[in-house]
Order: sequence, then structure tokens, then C-alpha cells
Amino acid sequence: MAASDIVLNVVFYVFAAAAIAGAAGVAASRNIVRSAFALLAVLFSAAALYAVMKADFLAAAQVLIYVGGILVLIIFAVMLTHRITDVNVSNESTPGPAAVFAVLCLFVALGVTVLFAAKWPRGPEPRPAVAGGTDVLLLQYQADGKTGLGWGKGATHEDRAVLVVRVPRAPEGVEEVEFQVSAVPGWRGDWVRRRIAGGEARLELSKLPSDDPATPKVRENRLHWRVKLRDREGASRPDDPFDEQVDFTVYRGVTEPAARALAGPFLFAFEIASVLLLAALVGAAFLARKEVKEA
Amino acid sequence: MSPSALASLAWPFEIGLHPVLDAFLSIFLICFVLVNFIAVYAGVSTLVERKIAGHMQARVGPYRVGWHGILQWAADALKLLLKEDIIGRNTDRLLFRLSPYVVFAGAFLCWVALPYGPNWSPTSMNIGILYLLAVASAGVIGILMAGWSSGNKWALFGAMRAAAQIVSYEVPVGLTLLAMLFVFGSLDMHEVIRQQAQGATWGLFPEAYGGIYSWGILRHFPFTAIAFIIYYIGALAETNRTPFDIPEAESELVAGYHTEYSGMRFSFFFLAEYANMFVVSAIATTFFLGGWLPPFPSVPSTGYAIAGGLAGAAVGYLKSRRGWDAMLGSGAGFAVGILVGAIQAPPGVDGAFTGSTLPEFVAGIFWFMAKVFSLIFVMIWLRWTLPRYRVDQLMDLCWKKLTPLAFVNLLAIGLLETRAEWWAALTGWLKG
Amino acid sequence: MRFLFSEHPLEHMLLLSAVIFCAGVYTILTRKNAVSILMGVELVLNAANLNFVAFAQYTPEGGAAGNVFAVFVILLAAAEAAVALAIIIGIYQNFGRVDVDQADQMRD
Repeated sequence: MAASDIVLNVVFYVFAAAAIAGAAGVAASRNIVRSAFALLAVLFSAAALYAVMKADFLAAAQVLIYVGGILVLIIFAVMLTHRITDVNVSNESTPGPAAVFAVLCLFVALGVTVLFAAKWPRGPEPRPAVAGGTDVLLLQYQADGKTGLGWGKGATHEDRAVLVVRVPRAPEGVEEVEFQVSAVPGWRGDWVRRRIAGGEARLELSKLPSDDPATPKVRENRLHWRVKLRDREGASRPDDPFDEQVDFTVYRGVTEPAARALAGPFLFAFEIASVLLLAALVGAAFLARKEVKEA
Repeated sequence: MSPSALASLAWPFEIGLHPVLDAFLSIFLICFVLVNFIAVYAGVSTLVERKIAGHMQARVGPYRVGWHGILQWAADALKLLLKEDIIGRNTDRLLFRLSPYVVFAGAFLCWVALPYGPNWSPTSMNIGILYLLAVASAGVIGILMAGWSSGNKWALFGAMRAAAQIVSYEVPVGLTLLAMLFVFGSLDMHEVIRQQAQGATWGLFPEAYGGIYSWGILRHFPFTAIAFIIYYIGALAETNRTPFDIPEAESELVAGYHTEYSGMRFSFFFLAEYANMFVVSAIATTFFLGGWLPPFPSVPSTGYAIAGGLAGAAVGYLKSRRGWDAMLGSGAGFAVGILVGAIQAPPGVDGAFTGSTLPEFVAGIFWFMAKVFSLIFVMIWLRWTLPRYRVDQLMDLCWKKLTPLAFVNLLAIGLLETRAEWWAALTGWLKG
Repeated sequence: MRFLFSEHPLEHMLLLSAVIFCAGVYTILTRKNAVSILMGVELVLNAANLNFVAFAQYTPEGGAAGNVFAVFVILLAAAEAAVALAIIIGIYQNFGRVDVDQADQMRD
């Protein structure tokens, strides 16, 4: 297993264990303040898991709003609604068998659905195409350089795009695939050749200067690629390359897609949410005011 | 150190063991270096603060330990380490032991994302400033944890006041940083600094970069200057410095939320406070003062040498009206000019800040630290000059004065960025 | 059979969020303190968020919608927590304690 996979696994399992321990603490602790700080562990672990899933903006927003706002509010409420000189504040619970059984049933149902019942689509969808009379499958996905956490070598976080051409039934003589990738409409990059190995040929593109001179570089986000099949003598088949005008965008993190979505299709929901927040602000301030008693 | 060796200074280092072990070991090394730097910086800055306080109060401050008291910080650190560790009877032991580390973690997590030099920071994220604002919230939870677990009613009050103050002042701080994000367009702090490098030297040296007129604070004057002032006041409140140090003032609540802590546990709160001061000053220098960029534009150093020589000659002559002093002055000015020309960061390859040459690296770190320490000096100066705000005055200032001003500022900067022609029309109408 | 995170990320995330969800539901069902019940609600919301983001990032049609929905959930959780805690403080001022079993009258 690659080193990046090991690191990813370790990070996920550590934070998953912390989240489960925190959830158990919230559910079962007899001291309400300890429950609140176990909730802190859950919220932080959830933020770390968002970062593992490369949703970086969401991880920061989770810590900022949940930990910095909601958890502080919850702890204030705990301290304002108890006798504060009593440190071992008890937090009673009624753990009857009915509740345990219901929750267990729920968990088993969810587990069975996730593991056995549902067919989740895995990986990017290959797009069928025809190049030189041969059926090929075009595939693109975004691959992080080293780990899912976005390290870089001297420069900032690198995200690479990996373009894959799968040739399931290669005609005889076809040994290489030629890629031409361009990022700006009307501008064409160089033709880059890759061997077909195991039925597929891969090309890696990096956004920033990397050490490997054989890795083509792109400067913008949107990619437009063309594919030719070549045979052993180096002749390209066909003469006109197959032109795949697909806009795959390489995003660094989730900030830009989320911002475009919020200002685009989800604009109305965003505005309604801000009105709702205003209403909640005014309502909470009103509800929590001190009653001025008539003398 | 060759340039390529310096470039490979970015981690993960290849130490030669198993790659996973390399990764974790390089994380550990970076954190080790940073924690040591925080410890030394916090220790020395206690001495610096007491000396500055002394001299501002017309006395000398600590004077006995070492030459003019210069080893006082070591004596203080040793005292804290050797103190008895007292845990009260009424405390929640687990949380009491845990909270200094949570508070310190909230400060230390910010240190790994600061832009210390050109393209050089322990981690560089494309959500840089959002990450910093987020993990600063972890410190608030630690403060509440500390106040609660002390088992002391006054510690709890101090903790709640401190938490309320920090959370309230996050609003104007966030709004001013949002206004600066309108100007720069990127959450990534390296990108923010790179944008502050564009500036022409009044047409004389078109390829020059840097210089004080391209910094954030002079972009849409006066709104970004107002933003800087609002941010700085908010930063003072976030780090519980005077005039906002109600939670830890000695005359108010004994020592607030860290009353019950002694010895090494107390020193963690202490380290966290100074680390927080560094972080908020670093954010201010990144967004408003140009980060690690030099304040002089990158003209060739002969220009600085000549300018320095002439200035030194003028000063020397004017001070004493004698030719010899003019020559001495010009010699000193010449030397200073050469030094200034030498420590500006060269633009690297193609004007890109790759951070892979040693002069760039050293110059970047020097200017970053110089700016951050100047802001910290201003914080220390304010502490020993201004009286303290009362809690209700503090909240009034935040919610009724700074937040509306920050909103108006945000609106103005947003309009200037996107609809500059409205602004031109308005000023034309005002003049005519 | 290898069932590691790096090879089945979606299933791992969904199982983890199921565990957190069940812990949240258990908290809501068994606790008597109103603030504890609110903490259970936050657990449920976080589990749902993990689900949204997992589907957004690990399925090809995910896109930005899952992340945006998670942002909305966080926003609404903040609004709801603020109002709920204001109500709880009101209950404390009226009843003297925040026990949901004993706050069963409409007027004092």
C-alpha cells in the first residue's frame, strides 16, 4: 500500500475512534459538563473527517460555527442552568431496555443497508468514446499529490488531474495513446505519449511546477482533451484525432465550487437562510431577556 | 546551503526511513521547532514587557539577574517549573489537568499556518485565514473548561466574562478581515502577500515590486486603515490585553480563570497568551502590512547606498555644522544603505516567490518578524499606558461602535472594489 | 476481504455516521436534562452532515450540492441552538430546573 494510503487510513481511524468515543461520552456520561466536552471531541473529529474528505472549507466552517459558537453557547447554558458551586453535576438518564433495543434496531438497519443492500457507485464514471474506430473509455479524476491532506513540495498544495484512457479491446499494433490537453480555449498543448499498460494509459497533469519534467503542466482549471491511438511504428490512427470536448474542472478544495453554487443555483436558499438567522437572532435575544418586574 | 537544499526544506522531509515514518517524523520536527520558538519568545517577552514597562514609568525594570536584568526570564521560567503543583479539593480533576493544553493548542494550531517567508510556512492551505479564525475558537473552549474545573466561583465568572469578550470581538475582527478579502480575493495568505507585492515605483523602476504603497493598509485609503484600527482593537480584546484585560486583571478577579493554576500549568496559559499575541499580530501584518515583503521597493541596492550616503551626510552636517561630522555621517549612512539594500528580498526566478534562495528566505523571515514584533511592542505600550475598560463598556464598544463601523467599512470597500465608477462619480459630485 | 478506509471510503463514512446518529438518538430518548437532549440533536445533525459530504465527495454525481447542503445544515443548527437555549433559559427561570419530565405545565 502506498504511503499516502497508510497515512489516510491512520488519520481516518484515529478520528473515527475519537468521534465514537465522544458520542458515547455524550450519551452515557453522568456529568453534564463532561458530556459537553465530549461533544467537543465529536465536533472536532467531524471537522477532521471533512478535511480527510477534502472538504476543507466545510471543516473550517464546522469548527468556526459549531465549536466556536454552538458549543460555547451550550456550555454557557449548562453553567447558567445549574447551581454552579456543585462541580459534580449529575445528569440523570433513564436507560430503559426499550431505548437500547430501539437504537440497536436502528443501527442494524442502517448497517445492513450500507453494507449489503445498496449498490453505491464507486469511482468516476467512464465516458465511452470512439477513437480511430476503436471503442475507448475516457475517465478523469482528481488525485492529490501525496495524501488527502494537500501537502506540497516547496509550493502550495498540489492537486493533480489524472486522465485515463481505457482501451478494452485494443486492435493489434496499438501500443500507445497520445494525449493533447489544453486549458485555454483555442490554445493547444503538446502531444504527450503514454504506453498502454494493463488496458489503460494514464496521464497525470499537475497545476504547479513539479520536479518531474515528463509531467505536463496546466495553468488553468478547465481541461479540454483530445486523444489519438498510435501503433508500433508511431503512426497515429486516425489522422484526425478524436476530440473530446469535455469540461472537467480541477478544484483545489471545496471553497470555489461551494461559493459558485451559493451564488448560483442556491442563491435563493442562501438569502432565505440569512433572513431566518436574523429572525433567530432577534427571537433568541427577546426570549432570553430579563423580565422587568412591575414594582 | 545550496538553493535546492533549501527548497527541500519544505516538508515532508525525506529522512530515509519508511515514508510513513518520514511523514510523521517531519510533522514532529516542525512542531518541535515551533514549540521551542514559542517557549523562548514567550519567556523573553516577559522580560521585554517588564523592561518596557519600567522605562515607560521612568524606572529600569528588572536589573539584577544578569547584565541589566537580561536573564530575568530564565529565572522566572525556572521558578515556574519548580513551583508546587497544587490541585484543589473541589476541582474536576480530568478537566483541570486537560484545560491548559486545550488553551495552548488553540494558540499553537494557528502557528503552523502563518506565512513566515516566501512560500514558506509549515502548512499552506488554500483556506488559510478561515482555518486561523476557526482554531482560535478552540482556545475559548479551553478557557471555559479551565474556569469550570477550578471549582472556584470567581474563576468561573472570569472564564465566562473572558469567553463572552472573545466571542463578541470575533465579530468586528471577522468583518474587517472579510473586507480585506474583498480586496485580495483569496483566503490563501501567501496569495494575499503576493498581491501586495505589485507596485510600481512611480514609473522609475517598472519591474520593481514591493514597497509600502502597495501594502493592504494603503489600498483603498482610508477604509483599509479604518479596518486595520478596528482589527487591532478587536485583536487586543481577543488576546485579553489591556485595555480589555478584565478577565485577568489582578485587582478585579484575582487572576480570572487561571487563579487556581500554579507552576507548569500556569505557564501554559502564559505561553498561550503570548502565542495568541503573535498570531493576531501576524494576521495583521499579512493582511495590512505586507507580510514578509520589505517596505522598500526592490530597486538596486546602489540606489539605497547612494541615498543612505547623502542622508547620512546631511544629518551629520546639520547636527554639528562641521565637515568631519558630515563625512562620518555619510559613511554611516552609506553602510546603512548597503545593509538595507542587501536585506530586501530579491524577486527570485521570473518574479515568482519560490522561496528557494537563501537571501530570499532570510530577508523574508527578517521582515516578517520585524513587523510582528513592532505590533507586539505597540500592544505592550498600550498595556502600560491605558486604563482598563469595565465589562459593560467593553461590550458596548464592541456591539454598538465597532460592529456598525465594521459593517459600513465592509460596504465601502466592497463598493470601491466592484463599482469604482460610483466612487469616482461621488467624489466628482462632491468637488463640483 | 480487505475492508479498509482507502478502498471503501463511502461505506466507512456511512457506518461512522450511523454510529454517531444512533448515539444521538439514544441521547434524545434517555436523557432528562433539556440541554443534554439538545446535545443529542447536535449529534444527529453532525451525522447527517457527514453523510451529505461523504456522498458529495465519493460519488461521481456528488458535485457541490452535498457540501452546500452541509453548510446550510450548519447554519440552521446554529439558529436552532440559539433559540432552543433561549427557551431553556426561560424554562429555568420559570421552573427552577431544566428537567423535561417535570416541566409539564403550561403556566406556572
